[in-house]
Amino acid sequence: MRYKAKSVNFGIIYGQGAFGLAENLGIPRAEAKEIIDNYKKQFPNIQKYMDDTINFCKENGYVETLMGRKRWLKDINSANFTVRGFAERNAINSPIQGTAADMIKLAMIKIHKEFATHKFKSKMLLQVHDELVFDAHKDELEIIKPVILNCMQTALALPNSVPTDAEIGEGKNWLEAH
Amino acid sequence: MQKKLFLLDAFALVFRAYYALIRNPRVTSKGRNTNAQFGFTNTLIDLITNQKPTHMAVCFDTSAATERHTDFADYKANRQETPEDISSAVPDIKKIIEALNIPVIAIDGYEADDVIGALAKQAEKEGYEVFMVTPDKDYGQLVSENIKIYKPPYQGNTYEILGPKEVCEKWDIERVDQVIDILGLMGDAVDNIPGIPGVGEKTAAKLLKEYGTLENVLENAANIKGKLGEKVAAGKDLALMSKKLATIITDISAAEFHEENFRIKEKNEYALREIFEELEFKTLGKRLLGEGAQTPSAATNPDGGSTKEATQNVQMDLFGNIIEQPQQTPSAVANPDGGFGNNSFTADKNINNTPHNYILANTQQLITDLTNKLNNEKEICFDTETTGIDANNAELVGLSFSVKKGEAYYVPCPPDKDECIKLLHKFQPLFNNKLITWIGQNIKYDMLMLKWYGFELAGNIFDTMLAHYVIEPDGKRSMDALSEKYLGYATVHIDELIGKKGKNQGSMRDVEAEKIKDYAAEDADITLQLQHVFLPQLKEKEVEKIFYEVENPLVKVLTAMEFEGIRIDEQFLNDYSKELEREAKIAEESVYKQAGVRFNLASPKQLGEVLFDKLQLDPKAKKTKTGQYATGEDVLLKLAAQNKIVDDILVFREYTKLKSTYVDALPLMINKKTGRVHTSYAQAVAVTGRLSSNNPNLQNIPVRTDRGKEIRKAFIPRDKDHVLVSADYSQIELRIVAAISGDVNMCEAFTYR
Repeated sequence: MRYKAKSVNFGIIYGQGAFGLAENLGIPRAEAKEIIDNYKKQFPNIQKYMDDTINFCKENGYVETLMGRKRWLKDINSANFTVRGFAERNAINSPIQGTAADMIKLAMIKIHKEFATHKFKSKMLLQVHDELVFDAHKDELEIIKPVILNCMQTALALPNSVPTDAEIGEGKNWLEAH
Repeated sequence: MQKKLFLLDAFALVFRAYYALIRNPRVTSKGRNTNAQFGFTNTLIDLITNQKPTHMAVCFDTSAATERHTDFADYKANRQETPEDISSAVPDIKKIIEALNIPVIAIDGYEADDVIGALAKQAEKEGYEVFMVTPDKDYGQLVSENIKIYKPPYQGNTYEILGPKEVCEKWDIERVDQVIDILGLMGDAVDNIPGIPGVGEKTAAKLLKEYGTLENVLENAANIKGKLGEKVAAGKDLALMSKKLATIITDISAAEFHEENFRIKEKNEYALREIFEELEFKTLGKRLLGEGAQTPSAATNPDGGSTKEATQNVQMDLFGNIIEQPQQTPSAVANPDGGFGNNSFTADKNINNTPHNYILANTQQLITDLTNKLNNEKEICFDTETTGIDANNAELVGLSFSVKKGEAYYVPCPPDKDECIKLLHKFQPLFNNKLITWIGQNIKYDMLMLKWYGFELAGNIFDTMLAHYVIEPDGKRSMDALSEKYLGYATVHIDELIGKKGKNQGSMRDVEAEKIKDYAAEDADITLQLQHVFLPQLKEKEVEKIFYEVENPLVKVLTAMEFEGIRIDEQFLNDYSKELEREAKIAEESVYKQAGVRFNLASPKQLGEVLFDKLQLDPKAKKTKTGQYATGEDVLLKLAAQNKIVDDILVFREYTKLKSTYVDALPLMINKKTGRVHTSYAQAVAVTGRLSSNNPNLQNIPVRTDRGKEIRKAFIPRDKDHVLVSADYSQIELRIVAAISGDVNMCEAFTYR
């Protein structure tokens, strides 16, 4: 179900349309259209954001993340709709993906610094998708957990007071910890 | 020998080539998009090598109006404007065809399909087997026993050959000449042929089954019941004109088939080289012009990840090895550097014609002089030479430094580790100096090397590869590529030192220091010069914040993580491997039982025969290039719902793949020194800014299926005093969408919970 919900959210945001959404979820096109219409009604500013982003890109030739990571999309003004369509989807996708990347990178830098300052024996080991994996010394476990969460949650403040949230778990292997 | 003539519909193929590569456009160092040229040339070369035609010609439309335009003003009026990249590609493509000594044919007043039709009919009479190379379905009307459509491979599918049987099946008609009746009735949106409004493909086929031809359908309009009859009666004129528009004109006096002109001949290597150089078709050039496949220096050189570039848009397995090449990046097959941009032919400067002062510092005195000199510097360009590309297994061979354009130092390191550490101690005051900024190309590699010898760089980092990453996220950034693009300078090739990549490649350790000096000092010199180029660009493009606050500081973090590695539970993987093998075996046996025959399930050929010949699961089963049935995952997934045998085959495949790609492969990645697996992060690959990883590629560890998830059990704490901790952002992308869109409802959903 969560997989489905996620597809809906992003499918709409990235402009795949009713056809793409129906394909992805294996549902009739009419149903997909209804989902999209409802979604747009529920979140009226999303469409405006998408339009504004594309217009910004058309004018400036690039889009950017909260940290100013840029992506230049020269095809955004192409006369050909297929070419332009790719660029438009990238224009919407890149700031979102890129901001998530900025955020976890900043969190890693912060965590690394904190661990060094406190001379923790625990180590940060892996980064994959939106996840960080650590070797935590048992003596430090309860100390480092709030440190990690705090670094992740404060790495990059989002506008409009939207909070970021991170979850943490432990275990005798990665599957159990996740 | 059977004479085989291939006639190519140039524009149809050019358009297709262009769009096939649109996600990964090929752009030259001068910024030209060469998708169309590249894709078309590949199709052409693929045809010549694999189909072995004896005769060939390429037909173009002309800009002159054809009879169809004068008859019907709307003909093809709905076409999108041709992308400029395509129209500007046409002269290049013609040059390439001419360099291959293949005739280019264009006849004013006729479209390519007319010309191809006319030529095909003549050649057929002279005993040729003719293939019309096009994705266009209209050609169906021309097909006969000896004239066929060759539909080139597209997006991972194999090519198709359509004869009369296939064409009739496709349209559900009895004779190929009914193709124009069908098109006349239903119209063709692509060419803006109207047809009869309200009549689609199925209705058209039904009408033709009853009445045979379009004219006969129209005559019998009164006998056709209901609304359809009315539509047919009303659409009579449109239908007749549509049929005329759709009819390919094969009677063209200007189109003459000349056996000798069309014969495949030797290519004009000089002309071909010239145009390939202009388009920067490096790999194709080598493949076609017989220089032999060369390995790019960067593949054996950590300075800038050309190996990473190649893998950028390619699916990789756990260890970053390419497991599937998408059709749209054919160059990657031949050459790990992607083939382009690395050694473009534009760099005219090199070590032999550029003034430089490269100094070998191989005595106590020279090294002391060097460290004294460097100690007064604020910025030092630094590079290492090593015995391999995996920093976790390589040994230091030398260090190079540069602080001034054209001037660089190379310090050889002794093979003995303790001796080497002694040498490094002389540089320790430098390494520990927090005021020095270290400039390097992919300096994470060099820092990791130092870390294995117990040294770290205390100062700030300026990585030229990362600078380029934020300046031009889509570009190529191996050092060779950057040097040629920004400095017009071709660097010394590593092949000149240790030979080409492969099992006979030598080690840097065995090359004399004087010889390495040029190569190594040049690297430091060039990297420094690149920094000078990028510094103002970072400011101008306003990407300093992301560079100085995120990417550069992250280098040390990633170095530490790669150095740490993670412990792997080998026993678990061994057991899991056996379990997967056992369960795969059960699925396999179940397949044989249902098939009623034992065969090699791993052989697609035998599998196809069982599923489609013996069990007849799909009467319309498709065949691949080699004539065997397609049994890819997409094919099987469609059949799995109704057929348990197919379900079992998929289970067998999943388990055997998990076993070979992950479960059995992961233990091989364990570092002998540490007993741990050291993932390597690629910081300058994903255009969005995300990290990716290799050896193993963590992103690719399956998470969708329970069997796949189990693999994560193999990642364990270092010892009994530790536990593994995982921290995960939740719904981060949605939160970002809410935050940056400012949509009140979405923001609220996250704020008040």
